[in-house]
Amino acid sequence: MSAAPLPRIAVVGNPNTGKSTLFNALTGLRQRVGNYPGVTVARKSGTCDLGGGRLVELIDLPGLYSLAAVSPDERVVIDVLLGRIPGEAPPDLVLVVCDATNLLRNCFLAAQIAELGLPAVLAVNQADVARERGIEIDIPLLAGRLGTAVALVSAWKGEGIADVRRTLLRGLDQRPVLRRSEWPEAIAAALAEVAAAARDATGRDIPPALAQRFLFDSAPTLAESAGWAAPAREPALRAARDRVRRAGLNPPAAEPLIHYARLRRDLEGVVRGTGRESRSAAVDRILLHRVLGPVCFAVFMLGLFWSVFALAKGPMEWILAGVDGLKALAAPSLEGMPMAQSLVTDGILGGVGAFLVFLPQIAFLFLLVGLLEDSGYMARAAFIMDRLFGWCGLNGKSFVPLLSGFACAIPGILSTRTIEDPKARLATAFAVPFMSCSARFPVYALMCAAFIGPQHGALWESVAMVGMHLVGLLFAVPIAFILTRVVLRVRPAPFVLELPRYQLPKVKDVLWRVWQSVWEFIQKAGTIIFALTIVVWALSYFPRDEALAERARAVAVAKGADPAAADAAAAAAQVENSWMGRMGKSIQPVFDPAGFDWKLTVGVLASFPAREVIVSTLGITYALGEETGADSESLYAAMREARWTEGPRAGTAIFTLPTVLALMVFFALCSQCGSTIVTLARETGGWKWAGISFATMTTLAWLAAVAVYQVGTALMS
Amino acid sequence: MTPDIVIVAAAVGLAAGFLGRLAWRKLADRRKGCAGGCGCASKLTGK
Repeated sequence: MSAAPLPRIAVVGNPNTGKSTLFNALTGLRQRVGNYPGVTVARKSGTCDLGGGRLVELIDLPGLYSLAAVSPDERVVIDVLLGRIPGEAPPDLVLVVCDATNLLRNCFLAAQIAELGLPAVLAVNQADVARERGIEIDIPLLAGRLGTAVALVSAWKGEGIADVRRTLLRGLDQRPVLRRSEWPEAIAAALAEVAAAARDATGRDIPPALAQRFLFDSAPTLAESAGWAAPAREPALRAARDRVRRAGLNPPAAEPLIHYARLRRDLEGVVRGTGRESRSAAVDRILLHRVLGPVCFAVFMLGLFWSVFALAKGPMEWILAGVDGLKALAAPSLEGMPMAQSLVTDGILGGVGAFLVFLPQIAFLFLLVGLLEDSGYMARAAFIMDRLFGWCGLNGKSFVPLLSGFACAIPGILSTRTIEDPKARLATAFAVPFMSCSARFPVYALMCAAFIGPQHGALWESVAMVGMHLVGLLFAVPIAFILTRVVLRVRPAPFVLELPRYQLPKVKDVLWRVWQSVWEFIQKAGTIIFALTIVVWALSYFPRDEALAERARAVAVAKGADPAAADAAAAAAQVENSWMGRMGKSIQPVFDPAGFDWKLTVGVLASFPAREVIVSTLGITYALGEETGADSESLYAAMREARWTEGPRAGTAIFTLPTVLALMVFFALCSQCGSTIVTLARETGGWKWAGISFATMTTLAWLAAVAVYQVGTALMS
Repeated sequence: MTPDIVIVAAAVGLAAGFLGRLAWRKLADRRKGCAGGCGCASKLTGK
C-alpha cells in the first residue's frame, strides 16, 4: 500500500520578493538563489516539516507580477493553480509571498489569486528592509482586512520562519480564502457571458478566474490552451468587452483599477511610514548613472578578470607541479614499455593536466561572478545593457538568457522561454551562443598563460580576456539587429526590471555554486576529456614509422643538432606522419590564411564537438613532438618556440601575437559545441535555425580570424 | 603481443567504447526530451 500523498502548497509571488530564499529556508533544499529576475525558471519542490512531523510538499513557482501571463514560464503558474497540469490536482494551499517594502503592488497578485477561490495565506517578507526604511506593517489588521492568516518574515535573516510554518498549518486546517474584490455589474455580466460561451465551445466548465483572464488579457494564449478556438472566441469576447466599454470601463485597465482601488482601502492604516530613500538608491545614483554606470561596469569587469588571474596564479602552479610529479612517478614504472609510457605521460597526463590546470581560474571566476550576482549588481548590469539591447531590437528580457550565455549557452537558450514573442525568442536564442561561455575560458587562458602574460604582463592578460568576452557581444549585437529589424521584424515589447536592494552576498550559497561548477569541471576532466585524450593520443601516435624517424634524426645530426634536438626532430617527424598529422596537414590550407599550422588545425578540428578539447589536444601534440617528456611549463615553451618548417614563413615563429589573437577570436565566435546546436534545434523546433547558426558562426569565426591575422601581420611587419 | 601493446590497445578500446556509449546515451536522452548540456552533466557521464 502506498503512503497518502503529502498536502501540496504552491509558493507564488512577484519576482525579487525573496520567494526562493523563503522556500530554501522552509525546505532546507539547495536551490540557486539569484537577484535578477527570471532566475526561477523551473518549478521546484521540496518537503517541509510544519512541526510535529506534519510534512507538506512545497512547490516553488516562477515569480510573476500578475496572472495576466503570456510567457510560457508564467503560464505554468496558472496551470498549476488551476490544476491544469496533467496528473496534478490544484494545490491544497497557496502561500503568497509579498515584499514588505512594496505591499500594495505585491497584494495585486494576491487579489488575483483570491479570484481563483483557492485557500491562501500570506507571508510578508523582507521585514528587515522595511524596518530599516522606517516602514511599519500592522499584521493583525492586514490579516483581518484580507480575511486570511499573515506572517511577517525576513527569510534572508532567518527571522519569522517558525511563524510562517504556523501560518501554513493554520491555512491547511482552516482553509481560508482571500477576500475577493467586488466587480461592477457590467463586468460581472460580461464574465458570465464569457464563461457560458467558452463552456459551449469547449464542452467544459470554465472557472470564473479563467473567464476573467479571457476577458481582461489581450493575449489569447490561455484561451487557446483551453481549446477555445478563434472563430468562436473572437465574436464572444468582442461582445463581452463592448458591454464593459459601454459601462465606461476599458477592459484591459478595469482589472487593475478595481483591485487597486479596493487594496488601497484595505491597506489604509496597515502600512505606516512611507520609507526613507534606501542606501541602495543612493549607490544606484552612481552605478546607474548614464555615463558613470557603464564606466563602473567596465572597471568591475576588468577588475574581475585581473583578480581571477592574480588569485589563481598560485594554485595553478601547484597543479602544474602535481601533474609533473605524477609524470616523474609514472615514467620509471613503465620503463621498457615506450608506448604505454607515452600514453600515460604525453597522452593522459599531458592532455588532462593541460585542461585541469585551469580549474583554479574557473573556481575564482564563478566565485567573483557569484558574489556580484548575490550582491544585487547583476540586475544593474541588466539595466545598463538594456539600452544597448533596445537599440539592436532585442527584447529587454533577452538580458537574462544572454547573461546566462556567459556561463553556458544551453541554460541561456532554455531561459529564452521567458520571452513571450516567438520572434524575439528566436532572435535571442540565436544570439546566445555568441556570448563567451566558460568553456572558451580555458582556451583564452592557455593563450594568455603561454603568450600574452609572459610577454605583456597581467594587465594585458585581463584586457585580452575582457576583449574576448566583448568580441562575441560585438558580433551578436549587429546580428540581432539584422535579425530583429530586417529578417524577423520583431515588435518592441516593454520590459519591467525590478532592481533588488544591494546586500551582502550569502557566502555559503556562493561557495556551493562554486563547488558545483568545480565538480562539473573535474567530472568532465575525468570522463570525456580523459577518454578523448586517449583517442587523440592514439591518432597522434600511430602509425609508427621508425625508418622515417631515423631519417629525420640523421638530417638533424647532419645539420649539427645536439642529441636532444635530434630526438625532438625524430619525434616531430613521427607526429607529422600520424593519422592526426596527416589529417591536420591536408586541412591546414583552409586555416593557413589565419596563421594556423597543422597542429592548431588538428586542435580546431578536434574542438568542434566541444571547444575546450583544443587545450588537451595541443597538450598531446606538443608533448609528443618533444622527446623530453614535456612538463606543463615546457608545453608553453614548446608552443613559443614552434617554427614554420616549410613555405614562405619557414623558420619564423608560428605563435606570433596576430596568430594568438586570431585563434582566440576564432574560438570566441565559432560554433563548437554539439550540445548547443542540439538545444537550439530543440528550442526552435527544427534543424533550420541550428544549421543557420552553425554556418553563420563558423563562417564569421573564420573570416574574423583571417582578418585579425592578416591585418595584425601587416601592421607588425 | 607485448604487454605494451596490450595496455595501449585496452586503454584505446575502453576510451573509444566510453565515448561511443556516451554518444548513444545522448541520443537516448534526446529521444526522451532532454537537451543535454550543463544541467545534465550526470546524464552525460552515464551516472
